[in-house]
Amino acid sequence: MSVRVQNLTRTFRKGKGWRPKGDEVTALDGLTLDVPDNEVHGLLGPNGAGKTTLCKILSTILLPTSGTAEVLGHDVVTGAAEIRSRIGIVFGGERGLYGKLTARQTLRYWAALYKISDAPAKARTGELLSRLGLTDKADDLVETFSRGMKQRVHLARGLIGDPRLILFDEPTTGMDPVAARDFRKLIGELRDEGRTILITTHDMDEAEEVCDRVTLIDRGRVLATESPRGLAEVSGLHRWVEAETSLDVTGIPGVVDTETRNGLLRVKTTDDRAARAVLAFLLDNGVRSVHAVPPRLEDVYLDLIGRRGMEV
Amino acid sequence: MRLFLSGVRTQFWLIRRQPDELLTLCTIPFTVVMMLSIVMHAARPDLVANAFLAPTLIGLWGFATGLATTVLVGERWTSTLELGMAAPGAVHSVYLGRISAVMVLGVVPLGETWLLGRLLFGVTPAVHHPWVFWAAMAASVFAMIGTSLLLAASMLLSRNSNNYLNFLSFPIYLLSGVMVPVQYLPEFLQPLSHVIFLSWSAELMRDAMAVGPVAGTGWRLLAITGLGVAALVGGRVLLAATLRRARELGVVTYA
Repeated sequence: MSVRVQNLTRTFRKGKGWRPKGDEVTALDGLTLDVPDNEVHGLLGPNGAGKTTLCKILSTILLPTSGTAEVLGHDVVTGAAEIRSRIGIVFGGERGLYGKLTARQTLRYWAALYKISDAPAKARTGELLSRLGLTDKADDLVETFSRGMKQRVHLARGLIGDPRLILFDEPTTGMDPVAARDFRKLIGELRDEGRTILITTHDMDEAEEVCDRVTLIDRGRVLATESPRGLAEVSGLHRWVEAETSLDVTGIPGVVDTETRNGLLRVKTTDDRAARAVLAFLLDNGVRSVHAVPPRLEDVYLDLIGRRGMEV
Repeated sequence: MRLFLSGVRTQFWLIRRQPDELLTLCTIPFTVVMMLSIVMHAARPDLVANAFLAPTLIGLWGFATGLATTVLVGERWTSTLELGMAAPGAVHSVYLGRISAVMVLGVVPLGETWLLGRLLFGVTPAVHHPWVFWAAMAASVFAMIGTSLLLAASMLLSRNSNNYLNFLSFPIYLLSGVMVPVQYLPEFLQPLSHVIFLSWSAELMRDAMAVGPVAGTGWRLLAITGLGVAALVGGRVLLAATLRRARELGVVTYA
């Protein structure tokens, strides 16, 4: 098991001073989670759900308040040194980069912090730059890179210590679609190499595409852990119908919600009976392209977590 | 040691790409002109050594507060501090290396001051005890590295570190006897000067430039080094405590 978290709680105190005494805020509330070896596992949840706090605890940046967390068989409190040499952390966006260093210098710096001596560090740096398509830009300043290229530097940095577990925190933030597609391909390659990947994301398509299993977290608790497709089936609260039409179906009993994207109408219904009623209505009105479809991960997410919008 | 050297190398890489970080060097000429103008106008050749030492040591302090001390705050802003905390290598060794690299550059104001004195005023001070002078300079750079680590770890706790660092200019120049020898200060301030290593540095370097014999070189060097070691240990302990507290509380800053 790469990650074993049991009844993990993490609270923070508001206020000032060396030991703040203000109100307590709970970020993780008795969270339990297992991530087997060689799995790509997604952590999904709204802002403030506790995803990043969990990643920080697993990467030994933060201590738990109570409960236990083991990474690759080592406790995050007592075995932090062992964990650090076996994991990689990949941020998204601008965080965690030195804009005034080149890609090569960045990797050499972090290689030293991962206790890799000079000759192997040079070789490893060259290998990662080549793998991530950065060889031609290896001696350019990171600040001159596009967002996608910066993300590749992040990835190379995260891989410098040849980690068995990689923690990705919002890795595709701000990436263009091409860069995001390349990133997903790389995730697959990393899994094929036997690594375990834990990834926090808001991107449901990404989670659906790359994750073997996903965990939905809200208010520091696990709502569900399943494969993206399994989660959709388990949650099965609603049935969905898709059709190429602009007809109004909101008056049909059992229709909960509708949305239209690129000319495609998606209808959320309460149950099979309501879905059949919608199908019948559409067919009766001459619509020929119509399907009953399983819910997408995004639908399940919205069902379980709710449309909290900007609320955190 | 490898981590320390990696820090040194990385800081040189960073400085080479950020020449604006060396702005302290641009303030030196103004101090040189001010100090030497006063001394030359007053026809006091006996104070030339003071006029040369002031910009040199002010420059050294400027590098400490303007650049070395901000290394850790910069790490906090870029989130590289978090990544460093999660790395298997001892992050404080890297940071100490980076601070040391800056402080080695802190010797540049010495050459700049000497050059400007010669070019602008045609004056070059005599150094009658060069070995003592250079030993004092080396001890001062070491002590400044320790002091910078202590200040850097302290500034990590503050959200307004620049305000504190700006404050730490004239009070230190005055109390350390860099601008005015400590014995000219009000008597009640003088004990305070003794805990600032720069006061020992300034006095010993002045004596090293003077004709007469230098008394107590050994223990005066020891005082500079000892204060540097105390600051280094204090900085290391404070940094460790700050990072431990960050792991416990999830915040680095104090308020």
